Amino acid sequence: MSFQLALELLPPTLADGLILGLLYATIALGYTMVYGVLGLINFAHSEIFMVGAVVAVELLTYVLAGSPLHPVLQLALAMIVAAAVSAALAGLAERVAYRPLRRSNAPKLAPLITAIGISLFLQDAVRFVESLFGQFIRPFPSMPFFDIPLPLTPNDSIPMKSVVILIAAGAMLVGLRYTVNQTRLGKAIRAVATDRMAASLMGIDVNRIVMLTFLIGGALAGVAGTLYALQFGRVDPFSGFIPGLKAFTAAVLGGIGSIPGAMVGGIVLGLIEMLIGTFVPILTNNAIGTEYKDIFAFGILILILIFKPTGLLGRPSTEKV
Amino acid sequence: MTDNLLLDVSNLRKSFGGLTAVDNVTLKVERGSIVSVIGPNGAGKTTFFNLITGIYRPDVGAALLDGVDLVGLRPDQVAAAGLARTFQNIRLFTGMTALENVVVARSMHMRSGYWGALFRTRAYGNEERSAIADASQLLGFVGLTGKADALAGSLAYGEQRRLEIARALATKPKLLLLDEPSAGMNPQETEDAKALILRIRSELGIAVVLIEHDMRLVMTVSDHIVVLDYGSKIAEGGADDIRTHPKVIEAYLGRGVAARTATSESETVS
Amino acid sequence: MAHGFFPGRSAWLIAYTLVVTLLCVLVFTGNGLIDTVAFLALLAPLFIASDFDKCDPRVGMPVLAFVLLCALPLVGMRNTFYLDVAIQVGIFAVLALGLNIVVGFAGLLDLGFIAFFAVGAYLWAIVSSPHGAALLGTGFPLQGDAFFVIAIVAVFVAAGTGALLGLPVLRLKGDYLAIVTLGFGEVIRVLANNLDKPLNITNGPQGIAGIAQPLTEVAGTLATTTAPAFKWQALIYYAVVLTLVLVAVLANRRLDSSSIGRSWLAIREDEIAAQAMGVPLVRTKLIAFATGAAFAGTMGVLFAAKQTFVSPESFDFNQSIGVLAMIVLGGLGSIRGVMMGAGLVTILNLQVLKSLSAGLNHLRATGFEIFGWSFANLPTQFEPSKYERLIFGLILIAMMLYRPRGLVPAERRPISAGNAGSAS
Repeated sequence: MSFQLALELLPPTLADGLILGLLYATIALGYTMVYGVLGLINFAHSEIFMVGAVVAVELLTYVLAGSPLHPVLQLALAMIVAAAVSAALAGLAERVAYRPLRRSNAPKLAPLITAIGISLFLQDAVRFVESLFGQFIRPFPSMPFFDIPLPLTPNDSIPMKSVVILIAAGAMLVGLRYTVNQTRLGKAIRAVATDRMAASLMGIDVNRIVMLTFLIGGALAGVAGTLYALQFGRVDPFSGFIPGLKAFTAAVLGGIGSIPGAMVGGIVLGLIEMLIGTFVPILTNNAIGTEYKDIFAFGILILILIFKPTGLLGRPSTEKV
Repeated sequence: MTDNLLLDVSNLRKSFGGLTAVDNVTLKVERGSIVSVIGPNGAGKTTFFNLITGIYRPDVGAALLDGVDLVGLRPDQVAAAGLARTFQNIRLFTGMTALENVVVARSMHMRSGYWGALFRTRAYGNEERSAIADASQLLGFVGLTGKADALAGSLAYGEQRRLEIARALATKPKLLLLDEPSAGMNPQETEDAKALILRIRSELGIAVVLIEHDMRLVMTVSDHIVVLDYGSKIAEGGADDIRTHPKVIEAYLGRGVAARTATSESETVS
Repeated sequence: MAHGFFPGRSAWLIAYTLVVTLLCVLVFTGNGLIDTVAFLALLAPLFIASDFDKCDPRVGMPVLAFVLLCALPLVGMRNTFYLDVAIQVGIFAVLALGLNIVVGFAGLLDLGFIAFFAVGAYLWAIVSSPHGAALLGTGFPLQGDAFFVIAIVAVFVAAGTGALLGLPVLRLKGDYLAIVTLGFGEVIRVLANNLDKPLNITNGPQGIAGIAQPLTEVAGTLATTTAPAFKWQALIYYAVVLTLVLVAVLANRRLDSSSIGRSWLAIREDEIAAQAMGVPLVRTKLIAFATGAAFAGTMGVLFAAKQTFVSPESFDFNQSIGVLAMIVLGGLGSIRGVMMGAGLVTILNLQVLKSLSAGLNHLRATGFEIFGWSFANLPTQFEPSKYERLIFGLILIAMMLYRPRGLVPAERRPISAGNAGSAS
């Protein structure tokens, strides 16, 4: 590969990597918050994200299409509804499936297994509903506004949607960080994350805080789903699975439980993935294709877990003995 | 250094974040002796145990058991080296019977292991039988003969403490660390605990290091007492030295007892 | 161990077994839903007779032997579909018993278990197919009878793969293990799909065909007009599977009641205490992980031989979850429960959902109407047989919420000073 070609490919690859990374980061926030508060990997989060994407696409296709609203407003409306639906779903999962297990003396693996159950159930439930109306692979409706090219370098441009994603994801991260660090609710969330028992003794309603954590994580997933559908142009009942795994990887990479960690981890992972997906096939003459980028992502996950389980920004935790 | 030295801990230090939980502690234990580690809550006693049993890794310092360096070993390797322990907040396998709890601790001395279990070799059967026989004997030693088949979680509190000791003894230790063996016990049970500790030395020839708050127990069983406060060793010596040591009195009574009781009961710093 | 001899119970069991066998051989020989129910009814005595707490072994053992050695082969030779079902149930029973060691005994949630199954399957596929011959050169493909050697080789290859994956990740907390194994399952699938270049090892998404079968001459010799060779071939697989199931059950029981089984339980209860008592954490977990993988690897070899074709599709996440659903349904750590779970989930998958699909397709084709709504409107994408995830998901959620110990909770027989070494 010529140096010239590499130089030409680099800017768009980095831009795509950044966008992808921001999407991972927004999904990772949900994992990291629930993990921080409960120590639980909410496997269903990837499907809550997927439902958000489906809801947004359906709304834009059937309800908002042809409305006189500006495309950005349409997208914002779809985002709000998707966030509400995803939040409700996350809350429902917490109420119906996770909370009962915290009360009872359930086996240690029980919440994990239930979470996987919810994840599978949601995949097929969405497929079922979508199948009743025809195709379950849904394209994002054509909205030319989001494809308007904006110049990046003299030779390259990025579409408007990238800017929209950049702004929306940035706002989410900043907003969440503010909520957790500066508000009363945030203080309660941090208290529950540090020591659930002590927090409840201090008069904090732990179940309420856990529920709010799920609601916030769910709402973020709904917004992330909308952005994801916008970026990749289609959504189906299984399109939550891989991004979910990647976002979890991002959360671990950045340090699970840490909000800036989720952001850093997401962006790093997105960049690595895009760089590998673009340059490794070229370097190896397509012997190692783009398909391998998932393998690289999981390889990173395993390496991080072995050598720095606390992630880039996480704090070491010591079990009490 | 005499041949009689069993445990030789020197200059052990561990910090968690900004807090130095154990600071430059040195401890020597001779064969067949009983040593007590005392100090107010939060003095770093349990952390000290965790450091020499491989649960935490010390930042600085050395710990030799019979010449074997314990620093850097995993907890199971420490146990294999001959150092066994009990836990302050009893950690039994509650879903297993008393006998099984003890037999588990015997596993590392069983050689026929996995393949023996799969093919039920004669050697496996013999080992299994002798492990069970040893475990039964140990249960008898701590006075739990009739409780062998009871689930550990269903035993009374004092029985659980004794079962934990039997389990630790099953690893065939050279040195036994007891973390508050008489905590939560009534005077009679404390007497029994004391008798048991003395018998561990006299009948099994195993040295004992105990963390203890019951001063009567400490003063009557210990050959040597070490006092920790804020992670540092502030005094050591025989019972009489300690009783009258000004720093000890200050640590226990001098500086605002009320203030200290308001802080966490937990020994650990995380 | 038996609680007494109940002539009434035993007589009922024997009578029931005989009647159901006769019904299955003579009446319910078709492939419909009712025939499936009859077939399930024929499996029920296996479940009842193997409960030696309630059923005298002197009655239970002969009943088990009769159903496994006479009734099932008879029904199966009559209609090989059921022999096939029995083989599938057997394969999944061994997989479930393997995963039971990992999840049930050692408490490690492995979500990529099917990857080891894939390792075994691709191993046999490559060494015994024309595709593999092109890859490996002279001496290949191996004869079908090399199956038995490769099945043993697969034990070690799969266990080695398990150890290789397990070594780095088993020191992690349980939840991380779940997600790493999930990723690993995905990696194996991606590799199977893409290792057709630069060197064609797996033949990519097309899969590998023409895989050799063992003992084909034996089946050929036995063939008659009423029982052609393919039926005998199926019977041979049935015999192999049955043997492997028995081996797997024995291994599960022996490991559970041994010092390694106790170490697993101790780790499940309290990792720190177990370690402090001299149980090496990673090593003990690794043994569970590798043993489970070995079970799956062997069954992979069998699966490839029986199908004579492997492709990445057979090893997706659904399969891993399916095996997990089996053991959660039956009861983690419960050998009888796990086998029952394997039977129920396999038959549900193979038979019930497919029958529902066929039934609905029939209604759609005939334009059947209900309350004025015609089945002809049913979208073609709506196929119950494809809703395994919904079913698995519901099983996992419902069991954890309402019966976390499964339909047949595990009953450990603790050792006691009296019965030292007597458990087998």
